[in-house]
Amino acid sequence: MSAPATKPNDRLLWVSLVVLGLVGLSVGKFFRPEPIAEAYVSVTTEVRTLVEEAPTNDGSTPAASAAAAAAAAPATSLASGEAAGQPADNTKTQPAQPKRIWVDADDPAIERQLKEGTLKRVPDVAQAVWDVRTPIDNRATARAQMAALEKEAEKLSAPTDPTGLTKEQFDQREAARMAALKVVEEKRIVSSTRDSLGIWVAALLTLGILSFLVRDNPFYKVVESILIGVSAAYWMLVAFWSTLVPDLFAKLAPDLVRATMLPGLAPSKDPTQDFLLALIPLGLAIMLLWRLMPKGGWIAVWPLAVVIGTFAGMRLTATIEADFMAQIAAAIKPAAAFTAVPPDEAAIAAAQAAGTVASPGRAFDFGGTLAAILGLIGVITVLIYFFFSLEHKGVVGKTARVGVWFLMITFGAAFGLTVMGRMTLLIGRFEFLFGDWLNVAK
Amino acid sequence: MQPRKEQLPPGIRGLLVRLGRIDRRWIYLAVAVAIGVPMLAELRLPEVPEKKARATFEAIESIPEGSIVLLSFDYDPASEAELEPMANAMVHHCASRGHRIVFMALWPLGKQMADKTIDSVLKYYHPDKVEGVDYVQLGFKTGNEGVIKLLANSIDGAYTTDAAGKAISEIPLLANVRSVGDFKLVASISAGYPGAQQWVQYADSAMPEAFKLIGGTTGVQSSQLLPYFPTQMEGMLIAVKGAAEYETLVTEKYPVTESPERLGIGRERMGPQLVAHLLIIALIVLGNISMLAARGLKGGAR
Amino acid sequence: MLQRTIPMLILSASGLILILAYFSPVTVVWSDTVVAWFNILAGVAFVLGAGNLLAVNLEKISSRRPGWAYAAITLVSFGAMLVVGLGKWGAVPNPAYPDVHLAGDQDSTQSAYGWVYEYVLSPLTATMFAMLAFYVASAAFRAFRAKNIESILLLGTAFIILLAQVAAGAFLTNWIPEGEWYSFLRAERLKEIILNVFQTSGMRAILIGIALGTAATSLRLILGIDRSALSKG
Repeated sequence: MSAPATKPNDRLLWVSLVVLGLVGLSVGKFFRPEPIAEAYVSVTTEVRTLVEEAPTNDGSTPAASAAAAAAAAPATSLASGEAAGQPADNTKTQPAQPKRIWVDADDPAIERQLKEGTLKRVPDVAQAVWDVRTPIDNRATARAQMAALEKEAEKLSAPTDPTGLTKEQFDQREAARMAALKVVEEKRIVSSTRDSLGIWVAALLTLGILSFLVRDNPFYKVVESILIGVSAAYWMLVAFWSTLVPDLFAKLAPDLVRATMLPGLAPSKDPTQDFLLALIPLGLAIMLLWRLMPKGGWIAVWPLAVVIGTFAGMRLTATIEADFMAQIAAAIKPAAAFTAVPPDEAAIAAAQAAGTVASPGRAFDFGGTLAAILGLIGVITVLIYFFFSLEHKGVVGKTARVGVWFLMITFGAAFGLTVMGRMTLLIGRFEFLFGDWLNVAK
Repeated sequence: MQPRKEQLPPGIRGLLVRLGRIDRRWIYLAVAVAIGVPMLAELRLPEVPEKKARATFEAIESIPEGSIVLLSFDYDPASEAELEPMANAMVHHCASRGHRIVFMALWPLGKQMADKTIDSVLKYYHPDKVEGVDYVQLGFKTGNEGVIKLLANSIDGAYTTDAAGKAISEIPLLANVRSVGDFKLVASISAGYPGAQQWVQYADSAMPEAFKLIGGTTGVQSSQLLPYFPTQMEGMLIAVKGAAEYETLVTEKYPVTESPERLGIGRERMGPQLVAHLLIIALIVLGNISMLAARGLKGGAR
Repeated sequence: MLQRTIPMLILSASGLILILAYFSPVTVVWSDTVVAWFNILAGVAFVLGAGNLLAVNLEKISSRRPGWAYAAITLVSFGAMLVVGLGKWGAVPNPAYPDVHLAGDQDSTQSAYGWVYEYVLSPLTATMFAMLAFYVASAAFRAFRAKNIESILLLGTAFIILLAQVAAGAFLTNWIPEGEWYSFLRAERLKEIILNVFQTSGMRAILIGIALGTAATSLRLILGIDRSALSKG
């Protein structure tokens, strides 16, 4: 192992890296048209309006009528409002709350329904308006689109020349121009400072991690601490939103969850049963988290037992089927290989005479058979090598030696593929640094 | 006490011994140059698709047009460089064939990987596809193989809502999909555990004839999955090479005109890969030559 | 009793339900319920991990152990991410329910959570693993020595795979014609043989061994012969 580099060399290295970095960044800033860390987003504005289904003549709402019609149970009287026998539904067949939904008022189908009166805007509820920013990957395309939109907007901003037009024609053209201008102005492509800043942050963090290659340093340690903190929180949040909320809390308090987090949650067929059954994983979860408490942490063994038992039970049958029986079958089945060959003339003639089509013949595939037998020898010799209850002497020893050779080829190939994998990961990072950050590579 | 200075043999032999003891940071620099220079020079080479890539391509081509397929994104940003190209190509292939895609993830960050592919490939090249009808994003669930086990019996055992919170019962695409057996094809783009191996063990073993199973894997995991091909897995893409070959096949049959680089990422990466591999071979050879040169010296060969 | 026997019984019961469900379709409902609980507990395990991280780092800060400043940075990052993620800061409203803030989507870079994912977590995770490329090169140079026949086999195979996986292999062996008995020496054919015959058979044997080991360990756990998994600590 070589001695660690002496301090003066390290200082020189850091200084030269910083100087190189500054020179490179200045060249980038002043001599190249494309800026560093460019990011573009296309911004669209979404507007949603709260509408409710207008009641029909008999006092029920269209949705309620549909629910009644779809019910498998014998028809119940709408007026009496008997809901027995029907599945629990948000809309009951009583003259109660009409169904309210948020819709895009610009959608032609919705516009028509609003005009017809089947949908009615809910008064005193403001429209929901928000911007959606979609990042644009290809910066050249984004720049081109931005320039084109600017040019188009400039062209459309100039008022129509009224010379030689009647008032009607002028009004028509002005209306068309204003409509086109509205469309162009709504299609916004902007340079995103938030994302440019993000690219800078990502680049600095990447360089921080890579600085460990020179030597362990405080910059690396800071970046590592950030990674640990952020990833622990992120994984916890992913587990919370993806599993705990819909699968645990939604069963324990469905109405609360529907009101605050998952409004699209379908009503349960049997909420009481769901609630009672959900108490068990809730109890187990509390027991598992109790491990963090100073006293009584031993109770975490109970949910651990569930986890280990389930895991063991699942794995037992799955591995025996997929990794044991199926593998043995795959090892011995193609022991003699044949390839299909087109039928020869005699076979075709015979088939034609009989009024059928000649089926392809078989030819012994020497290569395939050799491969299959070699494979079988490989499996058996490697298994013998791993059988340590027998002493590896004599015939067993020699067979085990052959097994070792097969294993060496296996591991050599695995090494080659591992190197390939690791190199690709680094290529990916360099693509980010040179492409997304420094903007020198595509 | 200072150790006695080692007497190195003169000439080339001494140089070789010294080279064998070089500070590892020079090797790191060599790796950086081996990857950076071909990348900046945009080294590109043609790819000839081989058996496994062809088998994967055929698996998706052979199922009837408009089939419902399940794509499981079982990887995270750590393996994105290897697996994103194959994910992009696979989604473009399925969408071009008119297959309807159900996205899911067994890794916590897998959902973001799927979202990235949906945004950059599905929405970009196939803007006519409607969410809920042509594709749906189910998202991530904790439990690793437990999720696969539940899916094997019923979809709504594992997922009650999609990733956006819409109830499964209200998604038209999943109206006739009861369990994983109702898919014609299941693809796992995987980087480790849980991944393609678990799909073989828990889904394919439970219903071997129900669907075709294909896997896209990293170089590291590919050794584990080779025994499953071709009996339990109908197709397999190994590392970025497999991705590049598969991209070639897909873009040949379903070419794109706008921003074709999204479906060429794998092929782009093969250029620096070539130089990196040659460097590794050179390093191993140099290391061994240095070992031979150092034989017989005090301190021995390293 | 509470610490050993009951957990043992719970373990055996869960395992047996799963195994039973494999053979008897009638019991699939029970096994699905147990697996659903398993999935929920897997989610709770993430929360436990985060809680443990909090505990360890708080202890480090309070006892002012060397490097406690880094623990503080970890906690600040953790806290910031948690607040941002639970409150869904800047989330894009759900088009169907824009009045329910927590129903919004926070996976795009528009939200704080998505921004941190895209520009902090993703590059950091990727770079951590990309570092392995450097280590693999350094290790290959320093440790990969062809000293005996086994290591020569290993090295030789590695060289063939490394070359055949890139254009170099085809470049070196394209002059060998197809269709002859020695065509197997072409790089791509050699690679196929190594992967499909040798590596597959070696890995197959390893897989069979692992399957037997897994089955044996699972059975020992379920039957209560092996109690080490539930012991304290």
